[in-house]
Amino acid sequence: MTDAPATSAVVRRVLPAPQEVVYDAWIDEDALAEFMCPYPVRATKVEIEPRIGGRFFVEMTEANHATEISGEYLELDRPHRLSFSWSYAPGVDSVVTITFEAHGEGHTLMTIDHTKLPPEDVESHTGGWSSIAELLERQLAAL
Amino acid sequence: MMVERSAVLDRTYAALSDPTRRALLVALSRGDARISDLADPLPMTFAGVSRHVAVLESAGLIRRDVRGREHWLSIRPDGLREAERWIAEQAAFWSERADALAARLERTHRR
Repeated sequence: MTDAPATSAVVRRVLPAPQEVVYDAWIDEDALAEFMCPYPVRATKVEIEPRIGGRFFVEMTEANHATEISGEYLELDRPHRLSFSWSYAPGVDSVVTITFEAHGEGHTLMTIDHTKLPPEDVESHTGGWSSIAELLERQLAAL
Repeated sequence: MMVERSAVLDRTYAALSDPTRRALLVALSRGDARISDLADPLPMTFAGVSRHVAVLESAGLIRRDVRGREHWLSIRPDGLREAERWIAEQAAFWSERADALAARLERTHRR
């Protein structure tokens, strides 16, 4: 079986600002603290080093339960594309890629693509996640 | 995330991480089959297929029924539900963040 697109959560939004402004919000600690942790979630710590290999760390707290998300920057191509790894538990690794496209006067089409990779402890961690979306779709269509 | 749920997801995705097992699931989604039926079109021994079947079975993705002297396998769509819900939750997570960013930009960027 060849590799199909990996399973991912994809979200698209048209935002009321040019690409540069939207891009910069993603590498600004204050902005991240606000929009990554919408009420009732609170940002209890945001530490980022926006350079390739730099750290991405957000601690979100909701009802006294803290979740730490950590990763590192994989790609910084202002104002087109930004990518960082995303892990919330040992053995869980995934990648978040955000693309910014001009969309009419002063607007940006932002696409967030969160790609899940298989846990490290499984027998194979290559190509494993591929085709699952397709498979899921097929299984659900058959119900 | 709760450890138990995480373990369920690990098992599901581990089971799905192999192309042969995905092919077996797709074959079973077309109808119940015996291991020998599944093994025939694959370049693999009965024992090899049987091992993959055991992995799918322990992940709760398929069920085995003994009818007479034959073992029949069928798909359990419920087994994929947790994995599917997880993906939907991730999309909801990012959707909320995108809305919050839109609200911030409305406030800070637009005059």
